[in-house]
Amino acid sequence: MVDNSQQALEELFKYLRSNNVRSLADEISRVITRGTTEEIEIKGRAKELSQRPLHPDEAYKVAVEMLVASMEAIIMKDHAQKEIEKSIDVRTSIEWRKDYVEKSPIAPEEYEEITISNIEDVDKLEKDLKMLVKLLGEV
Amino acid sequence: MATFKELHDAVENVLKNPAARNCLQFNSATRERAFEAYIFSLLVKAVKQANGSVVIKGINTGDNPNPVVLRGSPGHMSSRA
Repeated sequence: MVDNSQQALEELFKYLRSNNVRSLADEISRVITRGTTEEIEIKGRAKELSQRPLHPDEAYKVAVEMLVASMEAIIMKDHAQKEIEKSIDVRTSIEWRKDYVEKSPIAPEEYEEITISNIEDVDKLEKDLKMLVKLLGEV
Repeated sequence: MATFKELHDAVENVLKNPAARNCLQFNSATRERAFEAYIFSLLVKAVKQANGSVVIKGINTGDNPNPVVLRGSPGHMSSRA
């Protein structure tokens, strides 16, 4: 049972780390621990920027925003694929492959070939993520 | 006005979806690539909304290739309008 945003945040980190999503957990952790900046007035002088830690409510919202962003890839790819298929009137897939030209000013580095597999129930995921985004705006 | 409890419940609901678990394994490069494809599809849609026709041309594969291979690097789009 989660009673407050601090617990919710800890639970989210626990979920990510136990499901082997360490890179996202580390990314969120880095952003949250940096805190935020705000303008403060120092002894009647012009305002200056100051760094302060995030309140747990703010931190949880940041974490959820980053969680949503991390899951948007499949939705973006799904939209792109549908739009391209409509245009060329053929079922197709989208891939990213190694691409470099000879005599490039620098040698090609190792390139990640990416195929984002189709995932079932993307529509439900999109609907759930939209609900999350709506709630983020209302909290 | 939503509460944090509602937000937390919505997060839990998303994380229960097996598709979400798969998505969480994507690294940041994958997300960049997906964004590239998404922006490209918006341009395709804009052309169609302006009553244009779209031909996707692969450098090595010709018109309307299957699969569509994106480069993840800068290039050109062209128009005969």
